[in-house]
Amino acid sequence: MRRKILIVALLSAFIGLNTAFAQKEIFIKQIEFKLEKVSDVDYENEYFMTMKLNKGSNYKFKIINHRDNYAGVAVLELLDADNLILTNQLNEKYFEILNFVCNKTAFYDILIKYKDKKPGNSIIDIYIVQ
Amino acid sequence: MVNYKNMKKSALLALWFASCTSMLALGEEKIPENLLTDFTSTDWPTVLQAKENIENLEAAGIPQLILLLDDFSVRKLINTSDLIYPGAQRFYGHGQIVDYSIDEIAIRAGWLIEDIAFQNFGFTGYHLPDDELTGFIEYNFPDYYENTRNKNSLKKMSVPEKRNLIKSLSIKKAQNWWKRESDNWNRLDALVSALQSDDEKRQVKALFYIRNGKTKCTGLNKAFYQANIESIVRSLSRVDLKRVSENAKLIMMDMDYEWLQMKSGDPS
Repeated sequence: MRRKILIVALLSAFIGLNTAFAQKEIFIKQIEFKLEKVSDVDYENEYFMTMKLNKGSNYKFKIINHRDNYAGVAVLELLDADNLILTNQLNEKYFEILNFVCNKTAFYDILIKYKDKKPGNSIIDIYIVQ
Repeated sequence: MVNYKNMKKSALLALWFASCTSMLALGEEKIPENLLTDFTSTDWPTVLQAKENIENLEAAGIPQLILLLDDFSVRKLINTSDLIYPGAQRFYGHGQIVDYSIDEIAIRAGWLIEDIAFQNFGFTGYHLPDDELTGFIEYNFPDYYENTRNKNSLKKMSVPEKRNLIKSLSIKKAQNWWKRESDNWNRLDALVSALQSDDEKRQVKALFYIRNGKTKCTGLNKAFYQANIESIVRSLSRVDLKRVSENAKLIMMDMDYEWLQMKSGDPS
């Protein structure tokens, strides 16, 4: 009996610890951006939105490109006024997953453009990681 | 008995005092030499601070900046690790974005004039990729492009020649604008006119200024906003271009007018 109690206690502790350390992703928004034709008007070639992000929260951006075989690769920029805070394109390196720990609660601009001015069709999912 | 001699002396003294005061006032309404030196320096934090100070002078700063458009010297910026601009040697993935080739003094002046006046003269086109230059000229300088002779000569131009053409057309546009507007120009009317313009870049510049700008715009206060700007912002919040509508919506959502408290001066 004592042995059973010990096993149950150990198992509960293990499960508890596991839950405490596992990261949970809470889906908060999906952005769909399809650019069929490149326009002469710059702002028509981009996706722009503002979003309130909270201090201390950890956000994850997942980018899925080439939907319906569109060539464009989405470049995401997170901006605080005219300051670039985060991007998934750093020189020649391209990232499809981005993590961002917010250190100031504010409305941020999210700007998405297609690399090399190509038409594209992408989805960007935004999560809070807990 | 009235002492006319003394009265005349007093009147002359008052006249001299008045002219001195107005000269002093005029003297104040110019960019101080050291500020202009700072703005044309190579140290980025110094340039940025000078830009903000000159922007606060509003109309008074523009005549000297128009003269600076003829300065074709290049002063490569240093201490730019937190600046993303066309002249940057390295990209660190974060920093302030300046979409102008501000190593060139004429373009640096153009950048500041466009920001003070909420204008789009075309200075941002200078650094575009090679294959976008002709399209930029066509879209931004239709008067030039629609002339058949110009169009043909453009076809024969090299890339550096096209860049120089964009620079000179932008400079000419800015100079002509100031010739037309200098007598009655003020920043507040310019803000309203940019919001009402059909140029989306000017609209965005004006909305961005309302939302994030810290520099002075004399006369911009809650009452003026409600009477003259609010309805324009509301209509801009319904346009298709997200860059315009999203910025407009955020201004409308700011019920506490925090954007106004951020600005220099004493808006009430």
